[in-house]
Amino acid sequence: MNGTPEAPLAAPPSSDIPPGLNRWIGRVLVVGVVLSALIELAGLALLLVRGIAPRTGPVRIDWWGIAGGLVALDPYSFFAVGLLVLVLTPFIRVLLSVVAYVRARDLPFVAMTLFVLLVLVGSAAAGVAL
Amino acid sequence: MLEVLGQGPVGSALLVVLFVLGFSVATGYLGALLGLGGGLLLVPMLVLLFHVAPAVAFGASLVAVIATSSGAAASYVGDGLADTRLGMFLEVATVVGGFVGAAVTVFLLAGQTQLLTLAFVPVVLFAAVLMYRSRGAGTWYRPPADGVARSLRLGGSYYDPQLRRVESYEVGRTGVGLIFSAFAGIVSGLLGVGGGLFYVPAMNTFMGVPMRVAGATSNFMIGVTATAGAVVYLLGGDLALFWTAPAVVGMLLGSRLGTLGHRSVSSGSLKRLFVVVLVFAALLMGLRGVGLLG
Repeated sequence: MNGTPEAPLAAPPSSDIPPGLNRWIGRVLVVGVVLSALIELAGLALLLVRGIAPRTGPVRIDWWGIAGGLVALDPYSFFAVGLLVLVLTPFIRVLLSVVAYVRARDLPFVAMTLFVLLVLVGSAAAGVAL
Repeated sequence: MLEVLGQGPVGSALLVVLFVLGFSVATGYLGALLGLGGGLLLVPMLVLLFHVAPAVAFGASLVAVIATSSGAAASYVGDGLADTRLGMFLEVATVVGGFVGAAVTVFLLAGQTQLLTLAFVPVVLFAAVLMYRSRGAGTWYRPPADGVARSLRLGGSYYDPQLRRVESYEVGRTGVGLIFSAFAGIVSGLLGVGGGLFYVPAMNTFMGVPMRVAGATSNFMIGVTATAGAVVYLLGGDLALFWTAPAVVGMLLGSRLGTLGHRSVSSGSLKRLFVVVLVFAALLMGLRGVGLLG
């Protein structure tokens, strides 16, 4: 279980994705995660500042009314959008990997990353439809 | 805890938010330090202390897991410790499992509170056993590379700071690895845990991947697998929006601290503490599941 590294050390990359693109993937992950945390924090601040009683039970999100909720400074709309940004981050990561493997002309990995992307899109579609 | 909230003043809401935030920082920290996701403790906290329905707590946990995994993976991908080819290969199986597991919970089992609470117990106990028995880095079983691994050019090398040299490795038994990964994905989606506790042994024990690489690669995979499950919870089910916000922020902070403060803490005593906490969580979840704990 000692899987985490001690510190960033210069190690030879074990993939042949160009290092530049690997850095891009890393950046996307960081930006997505930090942005989402900031939106969640904004929601928490709104909830506390506006003195809204917390809804501790399950909430079903009305995704179509989300823009109006943001404008109205509804904390729950902020929470939902923060989660959406968080969940979109891995989508973009996989999409960038597809691009990377296409550029490396690595067909088996193009197929695999595309498959992963399709399953992610399919999961989202199933979540909406069912 | 909920009685506090019922009274409505902002001060008590602030208290609860701060409590969940602090708890999440602690679990995120421990998770990053010990290579386990924080979902294993976040779910019992929400279910036991705040009476959140298990299916709803799983969704919150999966989302928090994405935050920690993506935060950690960003640094590992950057320094090349995560084997992205191997991760992508196994993700083919884990995303399918993650979707199937989440769909089963959200669409079939969401109302089965007791069943889902009990189902969480063996997973937490399994994590405790793994943590208790975990071996040090450096020694691992090395199966010969198989045909699939060779044709996909899996395997590679990494710098091991304990051995102070570059170690290379091959990947074997890809079939077993794929099957185990699919299973891990199903558990991840079904019960809202990251699944790292299955990926790491699958890679290390079955496929011959060194512990350090397995841990980093597992982190790299968890985000995508958890996403396949999380979108089902997010778009198809009910969400604990009030709880997810401090959980996401706290686990992200905690896991960053865990990755940074890694060197100064002896992990031996932390591991024992984590084992005790896990067994305690499993016991309480079991009692709640059979209706002996209110």
